[in-house]
Amino acid sequence: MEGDSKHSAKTWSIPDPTLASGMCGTYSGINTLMVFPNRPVHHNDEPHTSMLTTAKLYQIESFSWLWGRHMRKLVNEAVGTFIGLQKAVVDVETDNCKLILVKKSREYRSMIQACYSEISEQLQSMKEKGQTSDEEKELIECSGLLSKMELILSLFEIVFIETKPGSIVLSHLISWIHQHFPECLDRKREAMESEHPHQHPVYWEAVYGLVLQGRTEDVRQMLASHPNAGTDAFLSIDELLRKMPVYQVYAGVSEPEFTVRWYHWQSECERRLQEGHFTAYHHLTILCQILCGDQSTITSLRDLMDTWYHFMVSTLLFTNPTIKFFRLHAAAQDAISAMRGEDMTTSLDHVLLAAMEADALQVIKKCQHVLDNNWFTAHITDLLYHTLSLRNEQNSLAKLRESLLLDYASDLLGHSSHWQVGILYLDHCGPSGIAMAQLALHKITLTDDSRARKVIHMASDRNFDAVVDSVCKVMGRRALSQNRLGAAIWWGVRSRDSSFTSHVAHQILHKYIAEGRFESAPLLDQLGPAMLLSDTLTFLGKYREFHTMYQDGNFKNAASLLVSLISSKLAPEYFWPILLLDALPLLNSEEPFISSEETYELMYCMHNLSQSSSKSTKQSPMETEAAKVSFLEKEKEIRLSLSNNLARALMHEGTVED
Amino acid sequence: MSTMAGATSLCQKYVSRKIKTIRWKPGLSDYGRAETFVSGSWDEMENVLEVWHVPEADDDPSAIHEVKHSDNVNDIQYVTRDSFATGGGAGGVRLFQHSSGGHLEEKFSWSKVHHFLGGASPCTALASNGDQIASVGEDGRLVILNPGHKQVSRNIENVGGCSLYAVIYVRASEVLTGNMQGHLKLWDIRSNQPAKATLISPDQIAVCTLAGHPTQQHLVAAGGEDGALTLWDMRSAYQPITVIAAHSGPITEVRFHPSSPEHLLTCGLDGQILHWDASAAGRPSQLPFKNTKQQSGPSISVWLSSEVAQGSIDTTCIIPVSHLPVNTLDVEGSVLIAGSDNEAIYTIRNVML
Repeated sequence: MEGDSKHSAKTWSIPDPTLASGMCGTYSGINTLMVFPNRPVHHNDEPHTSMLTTAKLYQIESFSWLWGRHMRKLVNEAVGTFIGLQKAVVDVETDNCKLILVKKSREYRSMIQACYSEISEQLQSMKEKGQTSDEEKELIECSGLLSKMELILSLFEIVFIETKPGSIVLSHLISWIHQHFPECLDRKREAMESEHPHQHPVYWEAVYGLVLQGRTEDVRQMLASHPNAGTDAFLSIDELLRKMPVYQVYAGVSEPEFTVRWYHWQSECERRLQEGHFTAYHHLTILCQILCGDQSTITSLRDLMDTWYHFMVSTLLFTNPTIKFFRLHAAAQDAISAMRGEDMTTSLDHVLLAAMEADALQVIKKCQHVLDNNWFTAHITDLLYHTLSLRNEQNSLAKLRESLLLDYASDLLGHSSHWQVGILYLDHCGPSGIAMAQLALHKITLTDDSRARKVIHMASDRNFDAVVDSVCKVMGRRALSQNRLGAAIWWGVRSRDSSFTSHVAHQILHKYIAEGRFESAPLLDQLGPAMLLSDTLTFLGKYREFHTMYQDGNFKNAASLLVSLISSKLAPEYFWPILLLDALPLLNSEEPFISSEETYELMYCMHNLSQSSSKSTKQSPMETEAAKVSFLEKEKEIRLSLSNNLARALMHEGTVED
Repeated sequence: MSTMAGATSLCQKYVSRKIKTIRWKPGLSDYGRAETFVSGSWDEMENVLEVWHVPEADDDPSAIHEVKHSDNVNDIQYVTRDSFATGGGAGGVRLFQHSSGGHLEEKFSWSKVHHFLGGASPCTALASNGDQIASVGEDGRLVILNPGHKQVSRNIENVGGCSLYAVIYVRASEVLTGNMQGHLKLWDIRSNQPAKATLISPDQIAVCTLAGHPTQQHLVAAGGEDGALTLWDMRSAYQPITVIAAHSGPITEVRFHPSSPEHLLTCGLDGQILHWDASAAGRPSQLPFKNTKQQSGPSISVWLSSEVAQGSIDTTCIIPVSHLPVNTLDVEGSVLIAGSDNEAIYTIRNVML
């Protein structure tokens, strides 16, 4: 049984010729498939010799990058955030809900970042040790995936969660770019740490890169280190940079007012450019052209911006700083065509483009396609669903969210140790989630008591009584197969399975006949109301009660209990001889413990027994030949004692009446 | 990840493994700061034992060393200051030694100490008196092992094969076991007698874990499958002193604080870690630490006081409720460590404040 699915390829083959003639598959777990060779059998086929060769079973399991050592943290950390979110959305009033959603989205992002930085650290240490292995390759892939996820999620947060439709988005987009494209800061550091910064080859690249991200303070710092910083041209550009207006939502400047300031500032830039303030310095001319929003200059610097979205944001920063959300799509299209033409975009670009179009369904669909990753889509769909229901928009996402969560949960359930997390997700998937949780808890392999206890706890928390019973039944049957009768009856009582407990109770009785001692006597003594589960168990419990009474010297009650056990027909027939033998010392005692009435009962029982034992041996209530012989030996003695006791009892009863 | 809540600080470190057992390594002296612990995982394709170092500042513990453990690590018990035994899911008991540099070495192993008809039975709990190891399993056996001897020193079979879930040394030669039917049995391991005493918990609720009071040996706390904590006085063993329900699922571990035993800590499948503070039930004029040092004389433990018996005791949950079981905890000085099925190790500092 080999399962090899560690490849991310969509198709792979099992190299086994016996499968060529046809195969069959069946679900063996939640997410595992058992595949085996299967040839259609025709009636006139003779048994073929090749059929006798060994056939292998193949267990096919899904493998996800999430199961990797580092990524597992995402699984467990995210479930806390997810459940927190579901609870918070219900509890909190609508006003605070948006804040919560933003907070939760940031929590998801921070766990992705933590995971990313941990992988980077490990890659670094691997590099230092000079190890190159498959593991490293995998880690590099993972870190790439994580950074993409983070990129998408943060844009998603800006576009869908944090802003209202129609509002100004550029400031958010700039911080998004700041976060994901910090290279210009690295260049700055590199240049500034050298002896003569302005002579460093990346000095001007750094300046342009910084200004394209609107990091004017950094630009001014760099320019100040230039030996010509005191010249008019430098002072002039410094002033322009210092005065550049930045739109902020809560800065107290209204949008029209900002627009006026912006045009004023930009026309000042254009004036100075035209007046030739910077003619002596080629670099400063370019810088000022950027500030003026000169499209061709910005386009010529596109190599400094790795991606079309960086390019788009930088262009917008200087051409249309108050762009409304709904115009973003056109800007994105322009940026893409300026960068490299539409046919060259990657799937990540499609996701981001769809986000800028505010087409949530498209984002989810593309993510699902590209990332091969139910973790991400399930969580962003959940975030989006709550955002939309917050705005009382018609929420078409409910079904999608549910099905994506189900997908993710089934991935988890397929993993050997994430089944608990999977169940937690299913709690939030509506009726189909409940159904799946029941099925999953049914199917979990019960390796030991502690795992069984966990399954029982999860099931009883959710009122899945049938699951609890079935787990107990499985454990009971297993204990029985291990010949642990005490444990078996305990599980049987818990599962309220009367036929099973009867069966175990019979076994205990047989064992008592054979060995003369009880399995787990204390349990039987303390059965309480559970005793009523089955007749045999009731009998067993009562019979133990008789033993206890007898041992305590409470002969009167013991005797009447014994007789009632015989007369009520509660006792299985094979046990009658034992009961009669148990009655022997009570019959022979000085004081009559057994009344005449009761003696008749016993005699009737004795009669039945000897009649049936003289019949065919097969239907004989007595277990074995040996038991029969020992009973026949005693038969005379019992009969004698019965008649003696009857006589004494009659006399005794007669005297009392007088 | 670290958050501050009053003076208590909580670190929650995700370790990518479900933690079944966690134990502080005993310090060199009773007063030193505990700084090393070991953890064991369960339910993984590859289970491991890990050694961790806890820094003094409010930082996450860092892993020093790990060794593979072929089966679930169901329990860890220190035998000496630097060697401990593990009880495995496949019924084996192994002895590990801390060597220099924080590494672990396997010193000895007893395979299939626990077994039933179909094969190996999981070992569920261990106890040690510093000399011997007592091991119990789902096969219902209590097995006494001597480090260095391959031979099992004593094997006490339980009729009926009811799983044993908990074991502790009450005295150097007396072992108390707890089973699935809620029966506690006291065994004198020197003599071949049947159990000295059998304590039966109310309603036959399975005993999942046991803890002995560090100074008053007759006082035993048992955690039940119904989430209730039962306190027993072994001198009058017919009725428990008190039964207090607190967890909403089976209790997985109970600990008296080793140096302030009027504090008790429990964790359970409901994802809570509870701190039980009985110090208010004692005489208020006394400083808490004095209580623990007064072993002689007529002073009774706070746990036997009427306030506790009436169930008036402060319990507080000291972690944000996790949605998955907390399997294990250990406490030493002011630092509590716990391991959970959400693959996190909790480090809670200043837990007594």
